[in-house]
Amino acid sequence: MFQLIENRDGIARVSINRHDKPVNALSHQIMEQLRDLIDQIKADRSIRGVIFQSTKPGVFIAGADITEFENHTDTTAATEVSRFGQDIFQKLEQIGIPTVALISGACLGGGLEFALACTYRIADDSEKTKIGLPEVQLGLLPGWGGTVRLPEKIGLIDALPLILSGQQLNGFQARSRGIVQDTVPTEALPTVGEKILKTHFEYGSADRLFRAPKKPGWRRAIENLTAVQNYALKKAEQEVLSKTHGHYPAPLAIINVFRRGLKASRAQRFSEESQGVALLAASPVTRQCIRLFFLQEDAKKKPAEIAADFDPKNLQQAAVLGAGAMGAGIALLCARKGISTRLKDIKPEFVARGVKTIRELVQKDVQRKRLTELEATRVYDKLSPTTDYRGLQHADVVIEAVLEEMSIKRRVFAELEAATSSETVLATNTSSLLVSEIARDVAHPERVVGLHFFNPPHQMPLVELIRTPQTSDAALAKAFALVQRLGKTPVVVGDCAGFLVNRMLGPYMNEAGYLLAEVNDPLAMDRAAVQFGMPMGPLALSDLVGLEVAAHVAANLYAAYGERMKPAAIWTRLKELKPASAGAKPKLLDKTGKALNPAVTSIVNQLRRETGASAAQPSSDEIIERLVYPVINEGALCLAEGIARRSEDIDLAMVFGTGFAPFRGGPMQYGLTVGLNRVVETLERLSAKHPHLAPSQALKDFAKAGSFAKRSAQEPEPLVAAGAQ
Amino acid sequence: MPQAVIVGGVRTPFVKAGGELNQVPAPELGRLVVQELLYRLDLLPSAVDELIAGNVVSPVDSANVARVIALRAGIPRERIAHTVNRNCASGFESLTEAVARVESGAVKSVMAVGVDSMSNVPLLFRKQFGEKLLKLSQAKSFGQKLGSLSRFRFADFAPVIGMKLGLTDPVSGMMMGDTAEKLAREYQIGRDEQDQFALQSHQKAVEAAKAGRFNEEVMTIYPPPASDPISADIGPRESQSLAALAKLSPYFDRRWGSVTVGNACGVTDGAVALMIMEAEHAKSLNLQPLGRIRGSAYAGCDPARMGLGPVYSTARALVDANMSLDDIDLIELNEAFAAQVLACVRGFANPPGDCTDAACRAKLKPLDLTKLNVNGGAIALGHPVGATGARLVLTLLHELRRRDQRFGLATACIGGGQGGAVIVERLAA
Repeated sequence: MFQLIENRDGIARVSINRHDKPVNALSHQIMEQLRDLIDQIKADRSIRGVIFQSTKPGVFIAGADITEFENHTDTTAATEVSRFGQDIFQKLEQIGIPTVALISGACLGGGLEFALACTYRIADDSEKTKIGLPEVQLGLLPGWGGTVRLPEKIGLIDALPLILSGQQLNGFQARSRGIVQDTVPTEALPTVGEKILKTHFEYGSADRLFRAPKKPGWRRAIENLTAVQNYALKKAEQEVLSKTHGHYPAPLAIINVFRRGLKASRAQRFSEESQGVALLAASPVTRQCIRLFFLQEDAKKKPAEIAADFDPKNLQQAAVLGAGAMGAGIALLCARKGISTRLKDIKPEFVARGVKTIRELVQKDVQRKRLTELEATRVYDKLSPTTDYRGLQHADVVIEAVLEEMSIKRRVFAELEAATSSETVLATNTSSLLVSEIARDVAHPERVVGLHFFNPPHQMPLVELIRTPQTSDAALAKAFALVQRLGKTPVVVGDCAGFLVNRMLGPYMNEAGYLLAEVNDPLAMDRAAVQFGMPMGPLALSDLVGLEVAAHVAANLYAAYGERMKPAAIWTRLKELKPASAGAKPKLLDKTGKALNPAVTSIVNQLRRETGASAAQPSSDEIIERLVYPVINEGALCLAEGIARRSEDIDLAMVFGTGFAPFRGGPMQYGLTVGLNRVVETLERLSAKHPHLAPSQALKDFAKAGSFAKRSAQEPEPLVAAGAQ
Repeated sequence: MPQAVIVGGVRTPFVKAGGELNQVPAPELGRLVVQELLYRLDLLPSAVDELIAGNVVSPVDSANVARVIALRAGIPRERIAHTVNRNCASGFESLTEAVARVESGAVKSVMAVGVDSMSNVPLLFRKQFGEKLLKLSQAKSFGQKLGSLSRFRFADFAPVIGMKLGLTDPVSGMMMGDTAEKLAREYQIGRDEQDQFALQSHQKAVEAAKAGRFNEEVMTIYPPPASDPISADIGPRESQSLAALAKLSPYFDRRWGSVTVGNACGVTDGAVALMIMEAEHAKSLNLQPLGRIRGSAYAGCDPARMGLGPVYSTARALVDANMSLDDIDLIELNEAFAAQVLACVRGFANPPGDCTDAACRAKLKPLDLTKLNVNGGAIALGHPVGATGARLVLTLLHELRRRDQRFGLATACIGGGQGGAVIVERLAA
């Protein structure tokens, strides 16, 4: 991957290009290559300076080769890998001649650690340039000197949040933080590199070429005080704990490495770093994080089952019907990715609401400097609001996001059919209706798909792509390309009530209703769920979604799936619940969010009196069993029915769609971790008292097989089987 | 020879300058109408070979506003665009040039735009102020800086109002309103007659808007910051009355004049887009043309009597089209000032002495006033200078279709002493 391509006037140019892979990743073998190259350069007296530049477009060095991580799960091996990399980069640092890293494209993780070991770092202004240490997102910490060199260059106070968040910076951001010395246009990189070295040869340093750092000296002095640094670490630790509830060891390990490093020598700081890596590498959380990373990368590629291709670059025009929060959000997503988008609603006032939503979102991004004014104008230029159907003939995709009512949706699809060409993919963003039902009267149902965005669309990474039995591969490929273009993670699922995510969430939310009526302290339920790793408990989630919506979804699921989804009695009773103030929505929790709304308590008590049920107080573990095991059961059914292609898709969808405890790897992975037999047995035991919790035959079969793998690898399974009813 | 047809058009509502379109500069107005027209015609931006924009108040940040509009509307970068300025007839100019380009065979389709944001007329600083600023920036030592600072005078800071400059004819030194006063005096057009004409303009425009006669040509816009929809022109007032008009004092000649802001056109923001295509090309795209241009002409006249421009230019356009005034079913004569329109009416009946061309003089005869500005005019709707010409043609074509008539005349006076006239023929399906 590292190749010395030129040695002229004492300047050696090293090209970085891994020919066997689409990205430049540092594998063990490549690191050895680098080590030998450094030795070779060092031995060559004619070389007075080195320039490193990638010849692979869009990537400098993307990081360590993650595919090798699976071999490093034990502590000793992990320490070894860390030491090995540290030694090579130290060798680079001490090469004795100036080195320049010319950064264009991804410079992440091990790639940035490599660059940090060079004397000079120059980034370019390309959109593809991303600079950062994202190891924490894989449950790791930078193990090749990143925790030592980054704070040395930019100070601990600035380095800490970067390493803790894994944030990726563009060239300009990296320059203002002091990570690179300067940022220049891409084409200027080679000449700038040469100039830096020649200046260095002449003056012993090229610093005279760069602007002085922005941070004043007195601030750096204050930031270097141990007391200040200790305080910053303490603050960071509190923040991490309140955010992650201690479920993720990596951020804490990073803080720990920094803390121990405060008074240590440089050599000791390197060894602290390797120990930190070793500790994390062995953690099951890290394994789940890495697995999810691979699942996500995998999900972005079109599954082989879709037998058609559509290049996302060829998407030019889209239209969104319905300018509500969802419609406006989706239209904005399209416009931001350069797709000309027509936004339609039936009345100018409704369109205006959508335009306003979009302006507010864009303005917020401008204020937060995520967009420049110029970029904002480019986004607006891609949007065209309207109240009629003109201009859809060239639309690649039309996404319908109108009211969730079958008759309205059918009418809209009939109108759409007349307004679009036969090439246009017609997508519905329904969350509760069957796509095939919406498409019932459409003359060409093969071009109808579901594109279920989650709310709010600009934040939620997941999109469920719903294929009906009629959907053609061509339509699916186009819709898939759209999701890719929007930078979202698509999961292809079958057409059934609630699709995958809401269907899986159904038993969880419903069981919360049963528990609410049963237990003494319902808040224990939310605490248990958060402790388990959910972003919030089911009661808080019900309030967020809205009780009315939740009840609607529950009724919908009950109609489709029968007894196992029968809404808990309390949900019906809660319809009497009045909002705290006019215009507000009724809530389960009071204003503090830490106690039950007193009105809810009295409804619960009344229900108990009527049914003669006595309150109990199950343990956290029992609560989790009741909340989560039915989800696993539903997942098994989704697999058996072909609603989901594989259990990995379910895990990915639940983690990205609902925030289901990522470090547990998703519900299906969690089922495997606790053992499917145990899940079946528990559900059987519980079903004696709660018949709706009986495990399905599908789950029993998977338990018998001991995995969710397909029963026969040879037998090609259809991507989507018939609907669930 | 290739023949050009107008396949469609759309415009923004016309909104008083400083009003709801205050934050919508000309390039954005142009982008809105171009994109909307493309969607309405179901054309991709790549269907446009060239864009020509008529614009008078050149935005300081867009020297060639046509190019900015084209790129922002998504028209491919290899296509060309240029801006034309014939003052008040810039909207005609973009159209007649577009037609000429298509009929020369050079291109198959041209987007003709007329656009002006008079809310965004720049404030200018005096030249001496700029020179002093330059000196200050060049000053090196503290003493020099202090010295150049001390040379500033209060008067230097007073901005020059660009609008006032723009509405003054630098050759005759008269403001546009003064030329209208001159015509009012020379043709003895009284205040009452002017106010009466202005009232009618409002009444006709209000009636047309109520009957939905502008619906097809006007698009709904959602301007920032409020994003509230605007679907109709703001200008026409249902409550307008002779009494209210009579209360206004003369604006240009404050003591003895008769031209008020009530019987003159408003200063307005707005944009119009017209799609011009080669006839066979339009047919191949299944586009039904609205109409075509049968003849057009521009004519020069006395800058101090620029309001009479329509008389001279119409005569020439009739010669160009080889038609008579009797052939014309509908007339849109731009209402810069009531006095100016009324002067033209008299000028048609009794050609001015300096209209010497015999062929032209022969074409002039009294106008049939029932054909004139049937849906009101700029006094009610407003006059975004660069957009007006294109608006007259668009409104005319729609009204001809509604009445199932064939020929229409659109004409306007031009600041600086010119007139422009376009004779259109509606093409029925």
